[in-house]
Amino acid sequence: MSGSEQQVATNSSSGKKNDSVQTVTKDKHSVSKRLQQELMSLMMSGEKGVSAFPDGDNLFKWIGTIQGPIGTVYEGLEYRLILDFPNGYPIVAPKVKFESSCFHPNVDENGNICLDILREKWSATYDVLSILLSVQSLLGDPNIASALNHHAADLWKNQSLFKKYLLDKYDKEVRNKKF
Amino acid sequence: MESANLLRLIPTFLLNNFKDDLNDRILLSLTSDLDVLIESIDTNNSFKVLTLNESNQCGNDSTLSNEHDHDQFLVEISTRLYHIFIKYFTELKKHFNRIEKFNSKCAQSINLSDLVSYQRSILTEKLHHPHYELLVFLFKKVFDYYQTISQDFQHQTIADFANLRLNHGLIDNFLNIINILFDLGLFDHLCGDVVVGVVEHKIKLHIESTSMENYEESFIDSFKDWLDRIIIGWIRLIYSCQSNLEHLGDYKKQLMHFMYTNYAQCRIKRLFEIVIDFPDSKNAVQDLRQCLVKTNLRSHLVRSLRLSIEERLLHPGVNTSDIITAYVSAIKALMFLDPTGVMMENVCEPLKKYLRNRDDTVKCIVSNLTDDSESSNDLMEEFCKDLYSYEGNMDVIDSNTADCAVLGSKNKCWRVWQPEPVDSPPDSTPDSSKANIISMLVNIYGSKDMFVNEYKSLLGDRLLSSYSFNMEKEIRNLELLKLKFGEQNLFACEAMLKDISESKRINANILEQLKQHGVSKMSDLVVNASNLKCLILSEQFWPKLKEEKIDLPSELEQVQARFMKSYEAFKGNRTLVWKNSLGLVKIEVEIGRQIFEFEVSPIHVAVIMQFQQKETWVVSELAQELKMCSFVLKKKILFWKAQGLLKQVSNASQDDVPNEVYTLVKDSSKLNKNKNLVEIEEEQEKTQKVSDVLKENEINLYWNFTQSMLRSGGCLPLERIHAWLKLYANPDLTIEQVKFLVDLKTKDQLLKYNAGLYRLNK
Repeated sequence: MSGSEQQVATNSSSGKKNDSVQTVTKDKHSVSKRLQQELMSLMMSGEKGVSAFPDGDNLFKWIGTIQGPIGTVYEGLEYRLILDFPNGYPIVAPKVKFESSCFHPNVDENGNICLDILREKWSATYDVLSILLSVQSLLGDPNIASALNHHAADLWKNQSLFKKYLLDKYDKEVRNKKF
Repeated sequence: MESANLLRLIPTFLLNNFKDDLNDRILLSLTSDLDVLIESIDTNNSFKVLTLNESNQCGNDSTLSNEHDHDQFLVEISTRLYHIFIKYFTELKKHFNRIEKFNSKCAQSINLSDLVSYQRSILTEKLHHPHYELLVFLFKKVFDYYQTISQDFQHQTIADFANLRLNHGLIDNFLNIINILFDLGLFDHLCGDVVVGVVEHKIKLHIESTSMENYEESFIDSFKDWLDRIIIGWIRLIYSCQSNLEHLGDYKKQLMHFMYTNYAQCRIKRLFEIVIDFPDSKNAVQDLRQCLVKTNLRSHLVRSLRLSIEERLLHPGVNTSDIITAYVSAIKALMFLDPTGVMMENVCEPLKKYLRNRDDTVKCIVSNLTDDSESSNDLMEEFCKDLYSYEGNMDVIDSNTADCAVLGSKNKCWRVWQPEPVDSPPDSTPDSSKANIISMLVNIYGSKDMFVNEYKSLLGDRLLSSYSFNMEKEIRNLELLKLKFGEQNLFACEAMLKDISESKRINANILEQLKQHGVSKMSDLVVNASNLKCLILSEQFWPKLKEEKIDLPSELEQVQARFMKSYEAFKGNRTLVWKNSLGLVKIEVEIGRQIFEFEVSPIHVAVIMQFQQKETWVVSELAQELKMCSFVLKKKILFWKAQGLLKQVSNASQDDVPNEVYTLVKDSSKLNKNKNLVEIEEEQEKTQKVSDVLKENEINLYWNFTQSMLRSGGCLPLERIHAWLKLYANPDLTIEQVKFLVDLKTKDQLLKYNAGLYRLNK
């Protein structure tokens, strides 16, 4: 895994954004406290279909997993997400993207997600659990109007064709890559 | 205009006149003469230059003659120096006099009083570093000489000094030189620094050579005496030709301070060793305490001691019990050094923090406190002592009453109250708790609950796993702890001990009852007090017990059922839940007419009794019969194998445990009488302690953590899982507990273990 490289990258980018070192450390402290609490409540919740955990010792980057919602074409599939928390969290939304490639109308080939609550509708009351659940429900209920992947959007109308294509792709790109 | 110009001209002319005069004639030849002298010392690289006699070369080994030569040489040097000084300095003197005379003549018009001091400065400027070296050399050597001769003479009066000069040529020459310098008013210019520098150097050397390695004696008085006798005597000697001796007192004060500072620094340098040896090094600490009052080295001390503690103690290579011992002696030593305890708090902060992170700290402290079988029972002593001194106000621990007690004691002695030292941390605790070493240890964790819990599980372990505990000792310990922590906190422990003694009574009672009912035998077992002993534990108070599911042989189960029935009859609406994994069974095994006795756990009995019915078993079948896991069973079989009662017959490959076959040994001569093996087995058993078992709700939480971790990270080794659980869930989690968790989940087929890595089983 390339965990260490990514960690370095996030650290440097967060350093650029903030001018004063002091505020960074102070912010970091309160943010890590909040993230610690979120982790604990996520663990206490015992939610089955989704999970997330910090990537190594870096509390500001988590790896999430979601299982495809039951009753949708994604049932039985599992996807990995990367959650990057900025120093301004939870005022600023975390950056969430798919780590495994995901064939979905609202997900582009780099794993970027078009989801309103991660952008303009973000609010500090959301937390990791609500993000994971939102992304999970997005899988089964895409927003065709604002598609990032037009091929997927076109194909969505025909569910059986979509499913076949999806499973082919998943087998090729996700399953084979696993560990 | 003109007159003013003229006035200005005169001093310049005069100045040049005098300056040239001095430079050319006197100074140049003076410095060159001095250079010759220095050279003659340096080039020969030995002190015997000027007294080159042939006999010296063969007599090199003889220290006596060397010493003699050495003195001779010094006398020689000082004589030459004296001659040089006499020669030039008389001229200088004349020169100065001329200036002064001139000065007094035209005192009205131009003030030339500065001119003399100007000339003096010129002189000092002309002298180079080597010339000063010569002076320093001379001073040092004469001081050494003085020190050796001063043993046997009293130097208080002028007459004494005169005597000294008469007897020792070196001293005479030396004082002559000094006299000349004084005469010219050049002494302070040339030698002021040298006097102080040499003396300070000598003090430092003396302190280091005498006290550096010796922590057991007090030196401060001997140093004071030495300073008074030798150093002050020496300075008095130097200034003996001066009538003005008033600054001698200043010298004394300054040097005394210098001595205190140096001695303190010398002690601080070795403070770590001093602290570790504390009760033996009490005198050294006492000295340091005196020095600290007179110097400002507190913060230096704290810094340096913290550093050496961090470097030498706080790393993984040191045993926790050693760190605790060091902590205790640090507390004692520093409390002695600074009774307010502020210094101790400042120094011990990192120690405390470090101990907090060690897994076995509480265990070490509690077992140190309560176990006096070990050699290091300092703590135990401390503990008892501590309690007896607190007898008067036992419930000091209770915070409310503690405050009152502090207030009370403060009211009593308000007259001698002193503020805390300036470097006291803002959150420092009131004095009463600092004085108490046990409280200090307990406070490492900030709460006594941790302690009580740890003690409870240790007590539980002791009572249930080693049946050889000493009841009286346990009760005494508990009573001591109760005084310390309050009765409420140790209620559970008391109940545990009470269970033990109560059990005996109930046991006897039930046996009596059985006898009355005419039951004298229960499945071959004669009912009497030595054959049947039960411990009846109140579940509520005991730590969570290890659960191991075993089906006991029917013989034992019958006994249990019978006993339980009697108990239920005896105790009304209470019942018993048998903990089959605990306890001891005494069995007799008859092999070929010989009878062997064993004292083993019930599970071992269950295993061996199966072989009574059928002599050869495949492990997997036996496991099914006994409803246990093959691997656990294998361990129990190995015990009997070590005893020589069982042997392996099939040659199944090593990893194929379920298919191994064991059979009973019938030849009694092959039995292993080696009891050591039994102990090995028992030790293995002990590794899974009661305290390593997690509670149900904890298991669920940590399992959620572990699942998420593995989902995100793939597969991980045990250490990683432990590290992350510690980081994100609970810093106090031990690796044994995590091992327990993953073992449990592996058994339930939720985890897969392969090549040192765990992964989720999907």
